Amino acid sequence: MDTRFRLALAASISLLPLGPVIYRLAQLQVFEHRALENKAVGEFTRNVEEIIPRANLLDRNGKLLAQSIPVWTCFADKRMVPRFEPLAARLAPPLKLSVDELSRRYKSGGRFAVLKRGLSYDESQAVAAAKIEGIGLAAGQDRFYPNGPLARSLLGQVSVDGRGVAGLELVLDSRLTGKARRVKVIRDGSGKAVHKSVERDGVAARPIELTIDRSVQYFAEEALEDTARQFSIKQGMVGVQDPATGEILAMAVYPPNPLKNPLVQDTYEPGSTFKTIAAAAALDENVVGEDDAFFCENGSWEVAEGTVIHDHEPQGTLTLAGIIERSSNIGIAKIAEKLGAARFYRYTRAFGFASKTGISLPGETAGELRPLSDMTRVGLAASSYGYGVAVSALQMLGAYSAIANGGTLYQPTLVKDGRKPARVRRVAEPRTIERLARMLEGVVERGTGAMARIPGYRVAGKTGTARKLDSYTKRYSTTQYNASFVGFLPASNPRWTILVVIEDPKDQYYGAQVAAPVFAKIGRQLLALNGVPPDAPTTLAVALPLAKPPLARPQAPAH
Amino acid sequence: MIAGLKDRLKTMANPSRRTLRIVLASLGLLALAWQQIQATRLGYKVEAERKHVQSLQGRIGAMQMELQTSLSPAQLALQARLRLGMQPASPESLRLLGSSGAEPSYDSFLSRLLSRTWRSLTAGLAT
Repeated sequence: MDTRFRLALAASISLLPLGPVIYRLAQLQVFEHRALENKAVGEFTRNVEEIIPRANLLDRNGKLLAQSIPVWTCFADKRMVPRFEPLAARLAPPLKLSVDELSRRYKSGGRFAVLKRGLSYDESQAVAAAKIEGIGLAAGQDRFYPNGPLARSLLGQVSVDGRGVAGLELVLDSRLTGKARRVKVIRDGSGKAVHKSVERDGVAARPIELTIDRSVQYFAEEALEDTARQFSIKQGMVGVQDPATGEILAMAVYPPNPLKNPLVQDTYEPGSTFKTIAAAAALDENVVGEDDAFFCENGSWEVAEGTVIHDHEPQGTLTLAGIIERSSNIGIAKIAEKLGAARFYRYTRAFGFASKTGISLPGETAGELRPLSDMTRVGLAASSYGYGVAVSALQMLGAYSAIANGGTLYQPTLVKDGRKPARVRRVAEPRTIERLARMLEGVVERGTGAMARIPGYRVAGKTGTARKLDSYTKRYSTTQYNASFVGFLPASNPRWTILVVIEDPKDQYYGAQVAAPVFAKIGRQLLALNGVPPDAPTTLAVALPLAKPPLARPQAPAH
Repeated sequence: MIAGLKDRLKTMANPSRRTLRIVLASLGLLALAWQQIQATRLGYKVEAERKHVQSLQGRIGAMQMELQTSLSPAQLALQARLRLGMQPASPESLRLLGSSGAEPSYDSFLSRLLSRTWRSLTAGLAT
């Protein structure tokens, strides 16, 4: 055999085992290079979206109403931690929970059991430092409301993943949510970040300033809670508006519910507070004069065959001002009849009823008016004193603000964004509004609204009491009422319109007895807080006696 | 051309120059490695600082929350009532100086006494 051949054979045999190695190398380095490279990069490099905190909500004076802060959730992966008991003792100190509680939480979840939510950064670091396999931390953010339940029906709520689900949190969600920053993180073998590079810049959302005044909101909620305790009410609402701009200063609800705002979403039958609208229409159309007299049938009038309407107290002949002051159903029904259904309907629409106000809150109701085609003699009479109509508290507040500011209906606003007040329309002539405002002052000075008086100040407003419609029998209840009061102060230069609606109060049910004192309490605090000088100083030293509540006549509770 | 190639071969063959090049290349490699190590070390440092910033921001947030909670109207009212015994002021209990027509007197008793004394003294001098 040739030496050369033998050498070649020996070399081939000795190099033969290298074949698979070379093949494997080629496979790894050439054929699967791209996939393997991606896998390696994926193990050490991650694209992470950093959480941008949800923007703050502030009141009109820059006071904090809602804030988001980063928090962490500690969880256990049950596949990696089949036996939790030995770990519970190690986790208990950093999580500040007992071993028993931790074990209970571990058992409650699915594959991933949440051990504790809302960990601060330091707490999360303490857990991370324990380096327990199968125990993880998920970053997130929590929404905090530093004023507790204050204005929660208005502010709404955010979900666990930080999205708005109700109230302003829902409506302003896109403005409150920033754009997350994308960061490329390179980690070493132990998982520690070595390098971070920004892949995409984030955008932090700017805080949003609301028209709400934290102090006014507190006054409203406090007064409402006191009333709730006193009269065991089912539900209560208070709205405070700046009549000059339409800005909402407070929206208080009892009981507070972050998922619902009844001022905007619910309707109620307003009762006698609606008489002002009929009076405005009649005055503006020159159908009646301020001093025109109407016979009020001594408290009982058969408006149509078989339909009798009553007053809460028998009245003889009253002027328009007297009808408003004494809250006569018969008197206002006679005026509405003289006015006619079409004109009455036109004015109720002009004052903003049966239309959405356009406020930036979800689920707003438009309310409902009796259709013009259904305005029979009885229907018109009932509508004139606020029965058979469904209005939202916000609509009523806006209508009285229009009277307070001289006749301009403004769109209610909740966000201060530097825009001019949104004027909707002029509802009546200035002279009409002036006369109407004077009548409303008379209600408080001489009429049913005596308990809304504030010594030293001119107050204008109107009481309202309406039986509630029983949803089962479809008849008006004889035991359940809506008591309300709406007005503005100081009447010489109105700065606040305040609406109070109390649903189903116990013991007493007239707006004059239940709602008017709430108005007065809030009004007194607003005047004191803002140092408003008295506009009726002659009454300063006079101790005004509280008016006796009108006679209780459950047959005619519209006053 | 051949002459140039020869020169180059000669230079390469020069041991001192070759050593110099190897040393330079090694130094370059070392610098590269050092820079990598420094970059990694700085990366750890930056990350640690970032975590520290996050921690401080978390603390600031928590303290702000605490402050705002303490300053909430309900808390203030509670503290004012319970600890200081304060009562809410009613509008009639306020007197706004200068707004009701009666101008307030800003003179204290001492200043009135001094001015009266001064007037009597100067009057005495004049006579």
